[in-house]
Amino acid sequence: MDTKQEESLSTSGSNRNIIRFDDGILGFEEIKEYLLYHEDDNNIIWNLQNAESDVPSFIVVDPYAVLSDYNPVFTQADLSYFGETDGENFVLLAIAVIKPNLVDSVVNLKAPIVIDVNTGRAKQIILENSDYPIRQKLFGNK
Amino acid sequence: MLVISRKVSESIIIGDNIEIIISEISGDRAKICINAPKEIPIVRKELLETRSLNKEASVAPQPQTLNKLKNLLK
Repeated sequence: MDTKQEESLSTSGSNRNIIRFDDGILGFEEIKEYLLYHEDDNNIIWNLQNAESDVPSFIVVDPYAVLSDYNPVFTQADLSYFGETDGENFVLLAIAVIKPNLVDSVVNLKAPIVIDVNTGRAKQIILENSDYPIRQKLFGNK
Repeated sequence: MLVISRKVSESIIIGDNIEIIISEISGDRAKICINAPKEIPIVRKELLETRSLNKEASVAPQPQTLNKLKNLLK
């Protein structure tokens, strides 16, 4: 699925995507538009930055690169935000806290960012039915 | 920490005006009803934890840290 993820984002326009969060991101509810950039060639690391300012600027990672059998379950209510849409168009990314001592870095697998690549609309969804850690060590399983 | 065992439809009272009722238990999941004054915020803990992680994550790391990360994930 990570390979498919890479393709769907990469094909939607060079290496820059405009992403719209109608509800903002938790803690940053007032900021709706973000730019999503590649940070690496493998499409594992991305930068999600406020479209109108330098902050906030998040490092987001492909959750499947962190946990290969990642399999979040979304409720109907979670996905109603996206309206009528084909689930195939969703790309998942996870917000990471990158620490200078990299082994201390964590990634939030409990609240992935879901992006509909067809529309560019996105939402951070806190999973109700999947037990994943909010602070999963980025290098915990290596 | 106070630990109380409750059955479905039983409740606990916190302070003068907060009531927490166990409404349904199914598998590993309990459905609870909360009666509280509307000025008292009630959120799932994951929401607060995610918000606080987002705040922590909102400042981009130093370029050299990011480069180290990229090399590690190559």
